[in-house]
Amino acid sequence: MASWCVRRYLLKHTLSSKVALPVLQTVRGSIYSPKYLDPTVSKEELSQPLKDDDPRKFQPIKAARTEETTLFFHDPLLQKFTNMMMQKGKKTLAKDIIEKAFENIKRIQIENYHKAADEVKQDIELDPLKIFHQAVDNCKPILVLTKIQKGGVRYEVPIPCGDSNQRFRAMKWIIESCRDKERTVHMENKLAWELLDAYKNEGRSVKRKQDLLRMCEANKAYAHYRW
Amino acid sequence: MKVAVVLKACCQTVCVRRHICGQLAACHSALQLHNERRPLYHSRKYSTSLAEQFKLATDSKQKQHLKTIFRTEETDPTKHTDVHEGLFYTVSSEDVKRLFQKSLPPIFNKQITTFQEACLMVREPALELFHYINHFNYNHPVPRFMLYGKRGSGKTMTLFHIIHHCAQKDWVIVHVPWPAFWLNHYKEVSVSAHSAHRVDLPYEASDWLQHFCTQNFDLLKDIKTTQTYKWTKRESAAEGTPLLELIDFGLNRVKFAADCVGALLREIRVQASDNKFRVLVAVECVNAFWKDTTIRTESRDFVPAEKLSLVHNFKKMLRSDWTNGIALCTVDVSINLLHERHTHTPHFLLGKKGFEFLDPFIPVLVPEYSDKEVFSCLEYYIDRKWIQNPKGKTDEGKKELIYLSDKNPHALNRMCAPW
Repeated sequence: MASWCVRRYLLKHTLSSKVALPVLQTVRGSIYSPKYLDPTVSKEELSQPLKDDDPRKFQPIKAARTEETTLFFHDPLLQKFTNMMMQKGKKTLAKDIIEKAFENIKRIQIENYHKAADEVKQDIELDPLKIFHQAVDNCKPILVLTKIQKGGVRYEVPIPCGDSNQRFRAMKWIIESCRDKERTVHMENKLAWELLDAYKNEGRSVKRKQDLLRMCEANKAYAHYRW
Repeated sequence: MKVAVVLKACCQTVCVRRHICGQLAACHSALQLHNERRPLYHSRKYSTSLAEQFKLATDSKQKQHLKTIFRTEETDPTKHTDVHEGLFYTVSSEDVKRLFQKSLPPIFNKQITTFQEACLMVREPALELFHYINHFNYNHPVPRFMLYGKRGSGKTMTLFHIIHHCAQKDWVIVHVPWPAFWLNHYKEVSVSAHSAHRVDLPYEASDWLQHFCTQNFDLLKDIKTTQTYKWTKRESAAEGTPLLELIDFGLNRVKFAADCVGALLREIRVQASDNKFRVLVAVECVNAFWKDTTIRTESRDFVPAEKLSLVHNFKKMLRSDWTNGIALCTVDVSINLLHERHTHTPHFLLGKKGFEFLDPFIPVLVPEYSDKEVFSCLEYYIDRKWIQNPKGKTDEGKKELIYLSDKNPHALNRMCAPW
């Protein structure tokens, strides 16, 4: 038995099953060995000369992802969102829908901007990327519920939500509340409205977050079951 | 004490500089009207003093006070000259409603509502055509001009600029917006009442009559028919009927709308030749006239577009057997199937029949943006808040946008759309 296999076996059977092992129990492994480095995408970083002791000189480097570009509108969070929007591996379609949704957001906001009086103009946010970031932030839950068995009863126990889990849930809720629509409504329109709503702390995805927090509040008494 | 004095002196110089720059930026648009053509998207040569110029060029902090010129105050298209090339002019909302509203490309229509204004760029091909229009001897038969260019290079917008120019001069405008729609987007098909081997599209014809009426409403009041037109045994339009009445008849009796179009165009040709008014015939995507429709005959063949009575009548406007007018067409590659889009030249797109019909014509190329135009366009987008990403407003971002769009106006608009 290989050494890592033994380690995993021991961990699995000696420790309690309640303990989360996010680092050790990876579902999928990377095709790259751990000595491969991430590619450098930023244009500024690329233009600077490498130091003598820079690991990039000696270690192999992963190939850049297809959607990673040096273009000014590249955004890592948006890239994640695109991948979550994607169905059946159609990334171009997902990207297209998001770009159209951004255009719709812009059209709505710019029209309001030009119609508005001079004093109000300052308050209108026009950048769709900023609106998107704010919308995702507004949907992030601080607490989530997890099921823990104690004395033959499964309790829903509120636990703090990690960063990546927060991000995942926020995006998932936004996408799910958009997917639940009539056939005649286009995804790009629905997404634009949903993002704008979430930006204003309204809408279905924000409501889902609030519902979850309410549940956490109700189950506050079970909080100590976490340990 | 010393420090204070120095500071004060500094402030004064800054103030003076700002004052100069502000003044210069303000009077720059006025200067342009009188000066000859020159590169002016970053005009820094305002002052006659060399030292001042050098200071302006080197001092990066001063750049924010230098306004890039992308807009012209001259809203009358008849007064556009080479000086205004590459600048945007505003079309008043009444003119948009009257001339363009039903025929603008959907993207531009959306842009008008988003920007709350309609702006067109003064471009080289339009200026070239203004020159022809101003210097043509109108006793000669009607000349034909052909706008051609790659997809998205601005053929339609150039055409609208010229229509606006001619409308300003009180010409009668015979505008055919996108006849390719007649090939497959018809509502109803019927055999022509006038001659049995032609096909009528009554609703499309009545739509066009409405479009023509809104475009030329003021002029049509004075024009009357010069001969009697017999529709049925009982209904006819006697000599001296106002053209508005003729159009009303076409709108009310949709069955005769296509024949009404024929009569109307005939009147326009005859009366223009009598020097009563001048006519601009503007046909978009003229190569659709020599395509097949999706209408089937009894023998399951496709009816060619030439058999449509609308196309038949508009083709007569493109013949040069009348005077006192100008015929302007565009050819567009987008109505061809994907494997038939080799080039965008008129010879290829019109085909043998079409080319022989229109020959001789004057081809006018609508190129993609020049350097000056593309920067002016980007400045306009930034001014209207269309480019939102802060990196997109920098020089580096602009370079990226220009590279990605290859200076194609439509592609540039699409590139900027999500960011």
